[in-house]
Amino acid sequence: MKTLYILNKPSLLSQCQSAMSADDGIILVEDAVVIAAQDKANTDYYVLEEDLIARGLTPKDDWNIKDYEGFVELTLAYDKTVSWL
Amino acid sequence: MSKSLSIIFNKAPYGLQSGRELLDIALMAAAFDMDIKALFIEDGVYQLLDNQQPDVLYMKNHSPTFKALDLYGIETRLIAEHDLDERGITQEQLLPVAETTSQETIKQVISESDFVFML
Repeated sequence: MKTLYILNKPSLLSQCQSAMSADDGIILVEDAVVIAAQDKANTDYYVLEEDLIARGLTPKDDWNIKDYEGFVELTLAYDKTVSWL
Repeated sequence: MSKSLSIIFNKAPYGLQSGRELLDIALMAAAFDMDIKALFIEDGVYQLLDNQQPDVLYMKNHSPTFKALDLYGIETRLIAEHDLDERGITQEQLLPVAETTSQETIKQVISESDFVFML
């Protein structure tokens, strides 16, 4: 099943990735948005806009930015979501 | 002699309240004449980014309070340069409240402190 992983802690990225399959997606929320600003970031990641703005991080053109509404739509495009805690 | 206390910020702001709470601890301990060092390492360097707007999350912006560290006599305020570089952040993007230094120096400050706090 196509799964959207919701990640809120930057330290759990590799754990989360090892659970993911090829057609799964990942959205970075809360503190995990800092991952998008780092070199190791994969541009396939979705990033929650409000959490970037809150932290003073400026989105770059190649990031997949979603606001809260976009986030809700994204969850509908997947079979299920997993909040990786 | 007063006891020394290192306060280590190692997490990005707003996911948890730890940044704000450590800041409160630092200012309170300084008021009790302790010798405080504020250290920013790992994702803690994001605490100092300028232009934070947590009002979009209905949260209060605590970052301007970092400017009070100096007023409270907390003279040692250090950022791990390596952790800044690793995250592609330049000092110009940060509030001018701390200076960059090597990991070696940070390690030394931690080892020489009587107490060390992290949250």
